[in-house]
Amino acid sequence: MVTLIPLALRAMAVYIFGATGDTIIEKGGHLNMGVPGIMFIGALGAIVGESLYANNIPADQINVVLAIIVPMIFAMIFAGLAGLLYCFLTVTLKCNQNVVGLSLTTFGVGFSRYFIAIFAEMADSNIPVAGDMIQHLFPNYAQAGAFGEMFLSGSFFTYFSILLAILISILFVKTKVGLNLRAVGENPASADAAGINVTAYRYIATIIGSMVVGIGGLTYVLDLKSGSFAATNDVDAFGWLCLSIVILSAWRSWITIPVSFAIGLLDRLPAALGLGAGPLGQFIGILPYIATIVVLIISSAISSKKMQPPAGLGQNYFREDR
Amino acid sequence: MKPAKINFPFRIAKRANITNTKAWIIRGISIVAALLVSGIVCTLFKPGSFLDFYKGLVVGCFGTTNYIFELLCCISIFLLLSIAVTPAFKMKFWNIGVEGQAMIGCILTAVILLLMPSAIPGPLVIIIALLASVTGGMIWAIIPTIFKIRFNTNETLFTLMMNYVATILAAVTIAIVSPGGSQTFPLITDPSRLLINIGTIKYIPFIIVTILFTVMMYFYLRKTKEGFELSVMGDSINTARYVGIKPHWIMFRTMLISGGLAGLCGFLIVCGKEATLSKTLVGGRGFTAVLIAWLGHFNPAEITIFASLVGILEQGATYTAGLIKISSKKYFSGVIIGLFILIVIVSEFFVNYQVRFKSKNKLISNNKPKEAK
Amino acid sequence: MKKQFKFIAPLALAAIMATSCGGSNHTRYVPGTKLKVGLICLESSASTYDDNFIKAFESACGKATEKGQMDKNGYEIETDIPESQECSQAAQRLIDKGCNVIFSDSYGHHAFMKQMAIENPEVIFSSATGDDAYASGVQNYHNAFASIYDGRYLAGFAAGKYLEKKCSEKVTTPFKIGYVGAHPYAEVISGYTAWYLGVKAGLADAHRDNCKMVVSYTGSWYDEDKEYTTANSLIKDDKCILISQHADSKGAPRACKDNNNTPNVSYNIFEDPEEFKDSYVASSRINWEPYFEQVIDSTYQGRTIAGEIDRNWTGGLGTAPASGSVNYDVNDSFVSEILTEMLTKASNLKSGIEFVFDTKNFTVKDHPSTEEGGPNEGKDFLTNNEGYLTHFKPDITGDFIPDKEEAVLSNGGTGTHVAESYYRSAPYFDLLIDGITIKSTTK
Repeated sequence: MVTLIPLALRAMAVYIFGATGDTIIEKGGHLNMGVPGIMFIGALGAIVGESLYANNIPADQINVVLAIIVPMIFAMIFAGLAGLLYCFLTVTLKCNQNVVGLSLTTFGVGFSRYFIAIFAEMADSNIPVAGDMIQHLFPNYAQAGAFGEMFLSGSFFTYFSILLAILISILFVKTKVGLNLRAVGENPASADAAGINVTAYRYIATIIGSMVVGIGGLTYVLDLKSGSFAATNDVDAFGWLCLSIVILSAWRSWITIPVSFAIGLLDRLPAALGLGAGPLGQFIGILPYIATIVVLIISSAISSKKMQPPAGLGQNYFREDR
Repeated sequence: MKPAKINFPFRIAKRANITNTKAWIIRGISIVAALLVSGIVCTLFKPGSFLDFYKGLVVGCFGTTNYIFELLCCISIFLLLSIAVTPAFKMKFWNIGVEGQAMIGCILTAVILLLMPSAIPGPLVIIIALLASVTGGMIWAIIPTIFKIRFNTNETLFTLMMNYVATILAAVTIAIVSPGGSQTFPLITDPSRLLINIGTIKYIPFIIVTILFTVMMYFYLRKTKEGFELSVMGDSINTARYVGIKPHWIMFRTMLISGGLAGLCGFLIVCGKEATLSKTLVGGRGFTAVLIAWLGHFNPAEITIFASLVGILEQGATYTAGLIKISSKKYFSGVIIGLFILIVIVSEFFVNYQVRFKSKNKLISNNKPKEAK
Repeated sequence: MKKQFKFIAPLALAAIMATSCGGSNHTRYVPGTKLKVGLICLESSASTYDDNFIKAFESACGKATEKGQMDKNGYEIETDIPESQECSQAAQRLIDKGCNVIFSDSYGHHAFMKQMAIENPEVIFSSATGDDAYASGVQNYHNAFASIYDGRYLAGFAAGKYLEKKCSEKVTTPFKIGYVGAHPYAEVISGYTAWYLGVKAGLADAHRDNCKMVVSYTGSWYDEDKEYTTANSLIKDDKCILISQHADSKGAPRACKDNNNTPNVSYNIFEDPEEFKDSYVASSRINWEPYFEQVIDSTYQGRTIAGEIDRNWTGGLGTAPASGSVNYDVNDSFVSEILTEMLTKASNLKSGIEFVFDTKNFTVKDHPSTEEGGPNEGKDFLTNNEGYLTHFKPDITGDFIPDKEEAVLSNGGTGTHVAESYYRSAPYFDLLIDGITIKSTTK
């Protein structure tokens, strides 16, 4: 148990960022199947940023804060650009959302994998110093005994992800911007009639949501994989699961916290139990998807307003169609 | 705080209609542009390789008889999966689960071909595997459909999840069947249970079956009553009901076809090409097939063209990557294909919409600041 | 009808081209002429496993070129070839380019290599780490391996000495060491058993019985994530003080480094890597260059038709740690203390004075072959009253059923040993000996 929880927490952070970012995008009405690709592009950005920083500053002058901020900025820029591309194609060029999303994933995953593999071969495939520093936010966590071992050993990203998810939830419920975005996602026609700039909201929501997803990619590389570039090879699997998590959390980002934690646990469980080789270990991997299917069925069966996706999800809005 | 309104200097209007020729000219230009961009990208990865990219495409696809048949088989997989997707998409049922439905076919075929007692004659085993795969694909497709019919459950997400369940089931199957825990499904070597080789030429059964079903689908959609019903449903469900079409029954029937075809493809992948089972046997081609079907406007003839282009890029780009010794070769074709699809998608916009530039006066007069609410 | 022609036409064209081109004709190699060779790799240089092969291959080809046996570009490497029909396609491409000898580097390639060998009798196919050339009887299909168990034993020996000298307080009471394995079959079992025996040999006599080993399988040759989590769990949950692995990624060394630099014995990661310098104790690997050189040379000389190239080639230790087919290495800061002992031990193993699987080094009491659902169930072996092995008939043909060959052979007067990699090149020792526990609950 003691070993499982810290690992689960690291995976959880990746999921929370991905799911929260995707929630923002989906609340605006976009079913963005490009999220796996965007997460990968964010990871690539993080690797580029990290390499630039750590390779150009002598080891003893490395500043932990900068070692986090520089890759984060790069990850956000890269992922934001990908989100911008998605938006341009779907909002301005009116292309089908599913198609653009899938294309973006196909392209993004291939593109990112290609360059990450090059970086992995170039550099020493790991930036030891910067990676080390990022691992633990509270360096003295061990002094809090087992509790500290389990819950306080997380990195900056672990706690930041939780904070962000809560903030975003508040944003959607309490602020005008959040409510406007929800209106855009539910019924863009009425929102437009009420004077809300649907286009602008969709663009901004997608770009910001993509940036958050990109931070998930960054967390994957720097935290989950301890900064190892060569190990960054299945970011997209996490991305697809994030789409699931958004459904399981009923499009509320604070719920992504417990859901992501549960999935992070399930994820790490087979290896920690030594079940890796057997059918049982493989089978455990099915559970998150089965859970998602069950939730999909139940939520559509009971038609509860609380668990529904935004009504306008997946539909492009074209004013002249009204 | 309201975000400001962004003023584009041009107006976008949906075209009322467009001649077929004009549409194809636009598409043709975009395809050529995509190929050019691919060559440029290749040069970016490895300076000086612009011409080598195209050389690799041609040699890798047509250089020897073996390559040609490999190419045809590669195209067939994309084509058959796209054909499977087509009827569903035509009635706006977003079945992106063909990946999983095909995988189910793969699993069933591999297990049957391997484990059926040797007393049973080869052709019979093949037929059993075929029937099982088609049925399995159908069941895999029907599950989300039933819930869509009953509860209006989102089929995009449901079918997506079913894909992953299928992939994991493949992993579980391999873990159970693999001897001594080696996690490798054995290679099926009994020639009476395989449909790969005719003499020394490979993949003919796969290719022929694909052509057959492509032609059949073309006639089904264009010339039969059922195909007509599908188009009506795709345009408007209310119109369909008005004309006496029962949408739920059509949905059910169509997904049977869609899942069955995907299962058939899975059968062919194992029995007609790979002769084994692995988690990556379908390898994301189900998703690419969705894109190809969309690009081809759900018309089997157009789909064939796009499937061929994608197949050529897939095989050719991988060959080029080996030829010019790009590092990280296995991801190169993914980049090229993704780029190709993105560019052609953009061309669709220009086919459907007209871009007119606003005159200068309108620009100035539109620039009044909005009052804050 | 016009639309149909759109897609029938290109296919018809292809068919016409196909029949007019004719098949690819591959002619038999004439000894003494320039040779062309190919290598099929599972991944690329990004993977330590394949990098090992690629470097050895390029080096061997370089030497052959100098000797005039090959042209400067007389070799081809196909990377990123998964263990599927793509392997056959890659082999076909190599044949089309004129290759006379084709090697593959991953176990899963072997089935396809064998198929291609049957279909192309004039080309030699050699599947490294494959295990069925012996049983197949296909003359142009070979397997190759090395006595890596020697290497792992020596690396373990160094690690045992390391524990004695640097962690002396931990070895005076019962302790555990951990191993991250890929799959539960002979190649891996033989490897970790040899390592375990090596560690025990390096410990002081009084501490030997304190050492127990826990093995945990990941189910994959290359899964950075799983290997990391598994190693992490061995260190944290099972309190292992030393870790080794049989896996192609750097997941386990990373986990060791992240856990206060737990000592780690590596595989294929060689010579004090900067990344892991505080946890790296020792390492072993197979050097494929001697094998490639030998095959190229023999083929050039024409010594293939009579099957004179060993179709089950097993390379061994060299005269120095970095020579021969089995290499081993010890952390620079520590090596000087034990160098003489290491060299002596290596020399004894090479000359047959000592044996890794000497039957007096281990017992097999805890898991008899009659144990239901046990790890040694169904295996063919006998022990004496104290549990020492007297007979063992391993699976040689690769069908996971014991064969008739007896593996317990005489040492030449001083006792017996299990002759590993003797009947075929790939290891076949797959018994679970006492002192080792498997962590996973499945087979």
